[in-house]
Order: sequence, then C-alpha cells, then structure tokens
Amino acid sequence: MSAKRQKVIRRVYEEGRETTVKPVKKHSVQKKKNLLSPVPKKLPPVNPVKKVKPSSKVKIKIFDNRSIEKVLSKRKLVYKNTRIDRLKLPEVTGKRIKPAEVFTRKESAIGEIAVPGVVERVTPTPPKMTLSPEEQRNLFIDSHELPKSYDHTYISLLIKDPYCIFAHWETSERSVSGVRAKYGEQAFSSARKIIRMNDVTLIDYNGENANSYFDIDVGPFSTSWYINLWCDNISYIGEIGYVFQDGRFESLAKSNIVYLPRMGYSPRTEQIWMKVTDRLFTPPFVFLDETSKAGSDGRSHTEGSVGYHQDNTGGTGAFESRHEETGTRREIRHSIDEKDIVLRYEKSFDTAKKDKQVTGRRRIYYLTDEDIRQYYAKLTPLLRDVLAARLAKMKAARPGYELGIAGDSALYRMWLFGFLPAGSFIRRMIRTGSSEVMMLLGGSEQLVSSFASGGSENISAVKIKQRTFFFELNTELIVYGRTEPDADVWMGSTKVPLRPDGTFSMRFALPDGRIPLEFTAESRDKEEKRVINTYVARNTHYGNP
Amino acid sequence: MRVAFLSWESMHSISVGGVAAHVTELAAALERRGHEVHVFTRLGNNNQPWHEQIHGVHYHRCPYGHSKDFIEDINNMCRAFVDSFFATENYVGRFDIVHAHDWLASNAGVWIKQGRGHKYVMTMHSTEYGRCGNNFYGGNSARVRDHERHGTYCADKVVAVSNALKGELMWMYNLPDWKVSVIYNGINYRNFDGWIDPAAVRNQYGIGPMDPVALFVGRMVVQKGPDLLVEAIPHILKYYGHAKFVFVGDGEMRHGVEDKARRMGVHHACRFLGYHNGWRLADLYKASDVVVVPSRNEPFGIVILEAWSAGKPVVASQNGGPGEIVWHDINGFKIYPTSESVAWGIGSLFADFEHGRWMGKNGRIAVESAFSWDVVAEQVLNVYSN
Repeated sequence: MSAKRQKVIRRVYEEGRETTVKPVKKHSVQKKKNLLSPVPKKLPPVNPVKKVKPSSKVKIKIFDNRSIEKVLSKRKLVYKNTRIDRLKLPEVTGKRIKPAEVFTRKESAIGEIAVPGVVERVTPTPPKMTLSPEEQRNLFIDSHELPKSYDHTYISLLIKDPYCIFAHWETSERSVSGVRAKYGEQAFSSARKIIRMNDVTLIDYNGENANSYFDIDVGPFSTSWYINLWCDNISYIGEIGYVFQDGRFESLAKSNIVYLPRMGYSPRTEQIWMKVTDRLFTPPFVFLDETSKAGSDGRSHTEGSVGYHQDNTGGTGAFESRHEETGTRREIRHSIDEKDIVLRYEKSFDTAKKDKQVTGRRRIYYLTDEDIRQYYAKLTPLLRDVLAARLAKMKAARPGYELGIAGDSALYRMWLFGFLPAGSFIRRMIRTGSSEVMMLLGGSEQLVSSFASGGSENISAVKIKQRTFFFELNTELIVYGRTEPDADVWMGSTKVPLRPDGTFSMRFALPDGRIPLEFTAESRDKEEKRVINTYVARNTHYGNP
Repeated sequence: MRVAFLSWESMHSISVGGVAAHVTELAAALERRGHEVHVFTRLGNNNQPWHEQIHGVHYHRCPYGHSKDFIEDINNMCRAFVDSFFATENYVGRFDIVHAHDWLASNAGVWIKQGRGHKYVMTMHSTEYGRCGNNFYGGNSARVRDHERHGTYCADKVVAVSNALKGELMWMYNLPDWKVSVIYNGINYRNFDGWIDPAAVRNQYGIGPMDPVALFVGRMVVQKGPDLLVEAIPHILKYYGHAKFVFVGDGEMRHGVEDKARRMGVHHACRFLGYHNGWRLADLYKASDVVVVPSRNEPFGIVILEAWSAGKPVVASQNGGPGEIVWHDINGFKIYPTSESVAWGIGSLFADFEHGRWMGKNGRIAVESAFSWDVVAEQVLNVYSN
C-alpha cells in the first residue's frame, strides 16, 4: 500500500469518515454464503487497498452498521448484483476499530469489517452448522413415520375402475365421543361403524333423496376399503357413521361424489340432438316458458329462471318482440333435455312451484313476420346511406331550411334519422328498395296500402306521412276495506291509515305482473288478528287484430 | 345514367356461377330505374347475336381469340371488351360508369379507365384466396391474385358482396375502408314461386316421397366443401336411414366426391346430378327439405337466397357471408365447416320438420325484405353517385 493512498484514506476517514466503497464482488460473497461448506478458519489473504479507487462511484459515510445499511438500501441499484443488500451486516459492538490498526492488519477476521471505510469484504456470521444426529435425520422426510391420525373426520371416495371404489376415512376422537354423548354409552356400545353408500345417479342429492343405499360394516379400526360394485355408470356419495341397534344412523362425514364410468360404449342408440341458440344474451326472441299441469294461468314468465329471458316491456326498435296470440308463434315441447333444466333451476322459482307442478318447458318464439322483415331490412348496410341521402335532399329542398352540417358522418346520419317519425325507418327502407316489385307482384299489404307511387326517383317529393293514430292503455289498482275504527291494519309491514269510520282504501299503479296483497288487521286489545292475503295479476297482450 | 357492365358471364351468354345472375339481374334492375345499361360479355356460341337487347338491357357479346393459357385467354377477352366498349361509346355517347365484375373483367375496366378516363367501379364476388379454399397457391392462382390486386387498386370504388369479403379485400389487397362498399347480393325470388308436387320431382331422381332430402347446390370445389357434406352423411344415415343427399353442380372435385361417397358406402344415399339450372333447379329446391351450404369460404352465398326463396331452411357454414345473413334458428342453422357440424345441422332439421318449415318461411320473408334486386340496384346507384 502506498503511503500516499494511506494518507488519502486516513484523511477521508477522519474528516467525517467519508470514503469510497467498491461494490463487493459477487463471488466473494457467495463463497461465504455457501453454508454447507465447512467454515473456513481463516479467510484467504486479501489486499484490501489494492482495488480501491478514490474515484469510485459510491460514497458513503460509515458511522455504524445502521448507516451502512441505510445507504446500501438506497443504493440498491449499485449493489443489485452483489447480494450485499440482502446481507445482514455484522454487529460492531461498541468497539471502535482504530484506523491504524486496520491498515496494519493483513487478514480480516470473520464478523468484522476488515477495513472501516473501505468495505472490501463483508462477511456475515454463518449459522452454526453443527447438527445433532437427530436433527440431521429430521432433515429427511423418509425418516419420519406418518402420524396415525390427523384428528380429522372425513371420508373420501376414489374410483378404481367402473366396478370398484376405494374409500378412505378417518373419524376423530372428538366426533366419536360426540356421538357417544348424544346416544348414551349403552346404545353406543352396540352401534356398528359403517360406511353408507348412497346411489345418487342422475339426481341432485340433498341428503335424503338417494336412489338407494347399501351399508358396509367396516369395524372400528379400519380406515380404508375397496368397495366392489355390481353395476357401472352410476354415482355414489359415501357416508361414514354409526348405525344403532334400532336402525338409526348417525353420519359423521359425507364424501365427495364419484361418477363411475361406463364399462363399455353406451347401449343407447336413440338420437339426441343438441339444441344450440344463437347469441343467448342479446334480445333474440327465444326463451323458455314453463308449463304446468294446471295449465297456463296467464301469468308472466318466470323471471330470472333462464338467463336469456326476453323482456317484453317495450322498445321501438326492430328487435322488439311481443306477445302475440296470432302470427308466427312457435312452441316446441322438449321432453327430456328441458326437464333437466327444470331441475337445475328448481330453486330459482321455488315460489312458483308451490302451487303448481312444473312438468316441462316450452320454447316459444315471439317473432312475427314483421320482426323478421324489419331485421333484414336493417341488415343491408348501404340502405342507411341511401335513406340518409334522400332525407338530406328533402331537408335541403324545404324552403327556409338550411342544413348546417355538411358531409356524411355517422353523426350526421343519426341526426337526419331523428326527423323520421318513429317506426317509419324500416318501412321506408322497404318502400324505397323493393316497392315496385313487391307491389307489381302483389306483395305485402303494408306496402300497397302505404305507398303506391312507384319508382324511387320521385321519392324525395313524397312526404313522409306522420302517423297520428295512437292507442294507449294503463291500469290502476284500488284496494279498499273496513274494520273496527280502533284496529290496526297492516299491509305487509306498512301500516295502513284508517278513516274515522274504520274504512280504508289504497291506490296503486298496476303494472304487468303479479302484485301480492297481504293485509293484517289487529284489534286494539291485541286479542284478535285476521289476515287476508290475495294478489292481483296483470298480463297485457299487444297485438294486431 | 349510361352504365357499362363488364363480365365474363351472364345469363344470356355463358352462365357459370353466381356472377351471371348478378350481372343480368342487376342490369335489369338498373334498367327498370331508367338507366341505360350495356353488358359486355363473352360470346356464348356462334348462334348468339353480337348485340341484343334483352329486357331493355343491351348485351354485347364479344368474340375473341382464345388462348391455351387461361389468364391470357381472359386478357384477350378483356381486350375484346375494351374494343367493343370503345366502338359502342363512339356510337351511343359517353358512358358515365364502367362497372366490372370480378377479376376476369377487371383488366378491361382498368384499360378503359386508362384510355378514356372513365369512372371505374369493380364488384368483387369472391377472392382467389377464398376460391382456393383459403389458400395462397402459386402458379395461375398467384397471377389471378395479381389481377385482383391491380383491378381493385385501379378502381374508383370497389363493391364487396359481404362484410367478410370486404375484410378479406382490405386485408389482402390493402384497400382503404372508404373505397369498399358492401352490397349484398340479390335474388329474383319470384322465380321460385308456385307449387309443385315434391313427390313427383323426387321420383325423377329415385327418391322416395317421404325421404328427408338435403340439397347441395354449388360448384364441386374445395371452397364449397361438398366433401364435408359427404363425410357428414354416415352420421345422418345412422338416424335417418332413408335420407337422401342431392348434389347439384359440377367441378374439379366431383369425381373425387363421388368416389369418396362410394368408398364410404353412402353412395346409395347420394344423387350427383351435375350442373342444373332454371326450373329444374327450382323444382329441386322446392322438393328438398333442407339446403346445405358447407362452404369453407363463402363470400356471399346466393344459394342461401335461392333456398329461402323456395321457402327452405338452410344449414350454412358461418364463414363469410352466410354468417352475416343467416339468422340462426330463425331461418337456418349456422354451422362450422366441419363434417360433424354439418351432420348436426342437418340432423337437427330432420328432427323437427315443422320447425324447418317455419324457418323456411322466415327465409322467404327475409329474401323479400332485403335481397331483392331492386334493393341492390338502389345501393349500387348510391355507390355510383358517390
């Protein structure tokens, strides 16, 4: 070490101990990190100052370990590859290392910073590697025995082959003693431990409705069983529990469901064609309707039971679907596949199920010829442009009316269409498009009746007739009744105000659907209580005569 | 407006495929709107006059020197078109629009535009890529693609028959969006009016009156996928042993398909009738239960419109045009171009004939609403005026 460099470093050390640090080389640290290698008694000799350059990039102040860590943590970028940022620096406990001492040392001991200020090697204290023989054995999983019990209560089924199930289970001491306490020591002493195999083929098992079951006496100590079956292609849920002498069965745990595969190919050869519907979640006129034994009661369709239920509440677009008794209403009854859906959606209309039994479902298309006509008239892309051009011409031709917007943007077209009377769009399409041919050949009556001028050249001269005919209908509901003047009347949970003579009346809007009306009257002394439940249903049909 | 149609086929010269009907019907529809339409097309046979006015439309049948090389032959045809066009223009006055159909006539349109600066509209009915069953082959196919690229590049406006085709054109030939308009094909659905005795028609082809009949109409080429239908037949015969499959059309795959049916042991259920058109084809449409369009690539699918006109439901692959015009389960089934899917579609229809009839009726309504030639002409005029 040159005297000049010593001087530089010493000066730096004494002036606020600011000095330069060269990043620790990766391999030098890794060597120390290799804990499995025997601990070196002495480090190989190093020459700490040799590689130090005063102009190194990093400058840190070293006061103690914390400040080193702090700086290092800020300098992660520099030390990213050195692992020094992950190292726990050794404690420097109170003892100040004199600079002179440092510089005269040739070797650094483990656990010390060899050169304060010049961190050439940072060596962590390695953990003690002296393992007792027992500890060493514990490192290997094979040297352990699995515990006899995990203190769980479970049963699990695995399929071995179409005719064989493997079951394994465990009953914890706690759950067994629970049964013992529940039934008494005497009854328990004569109880048999069994697994009960519930046949749940093709059903939604709710704990009670198994097709059939069989028991196997498994004895108190066994924890697994190969269950041989006589039939393939079935499903089982197993239960572990105790059956008592009087036949009562106390289940401790229920297993997963296993679906045993078929042994061979299916003997069923009848045709089952899958039904696929297009675009389930856009309004497409197709939905399922429930049918009942009691016949349709005219109520609205079960909301929410099927994901693609079509709302019939209006809209003027071409995709409007409607209830129509006439027209092209299609009903398809499905037997087996739809019944499956009923089962699956059973819970969603449990209220509807109470008073009537759902036996099947129909698929109904509320789709009239006009719907199809409108859809296809809109389909042709350029027809919109044609119409927009016509309208622009019309608007421009109108005296005193100037079009502020030029060009052919979609926005502009939208704006133009705003001038059309509602619902006339599609009909105009057809008129401008194929009117002659359809009329010439006696096309649909709609075209004949609405527009009979022929060629499309003079269409701009034809005024769009504003249809003024309208027909609306709405309903209200008035509920009235009477009771003792001092009684309390509730509708559901809201109190109904009574008039002095004990009469009351309420007025509701009556939209389509079912409105339950549940009234309760209670005498003043709370002695008597009467309940009147009824409901009102409205079901509107829109249609053409 | 004086319009010149350039097309290698028409119903009054040589009729090969959908372009013939398109050109003839569109010309007639434009003529009904009071425009003067001249159709420049090939000379079908020597008995046809070189000029004829049919339904008000001028047909110029151009003779030309043939070449063994197909592309060169087509170029010769285009030269003849140009010559005839200039001669006609010198006589009747300047044309407003030159409208070429498909790549075959595109060079004629290009040359006319170069020569006399006409506005040149080009209708693409399909692409070479699609005709090859979605393949980029070399050889003549590459030359055809060059024709298509050149023709669409030179055109002032390009008309595509479906959004799918428009997408293909923009993809392959880098056409800008504004240049391509989509105009669906039309159909003269009145050609399919009237009732026939289906049993009598079926009897002609050895089909029982109550047999479920699926009809395939189209060129027997990879693009149209007749092999997919043949592969689907065993699946259907399994459930409908008396089902019959009628193949109308000719093409390079015909013998291969027939052979395939024979090898699969379903030839007894197939009828390969070759090329048919006119009332014979209309009768077949009316006598069938379902029309199958198992195309691998279908730019539009006029067959679907024909089926609907005859009131028949379709089972059409959802590639390209059919995917846009077929309303699934309402006027036909959309399927994938695989044999299993074809079998599913046909089987579903055979399983419920009432539903099938209802779908066919809906198809007829669709055709009447949006696919008449007057609707098409209206939109074509809109393209011209832009």
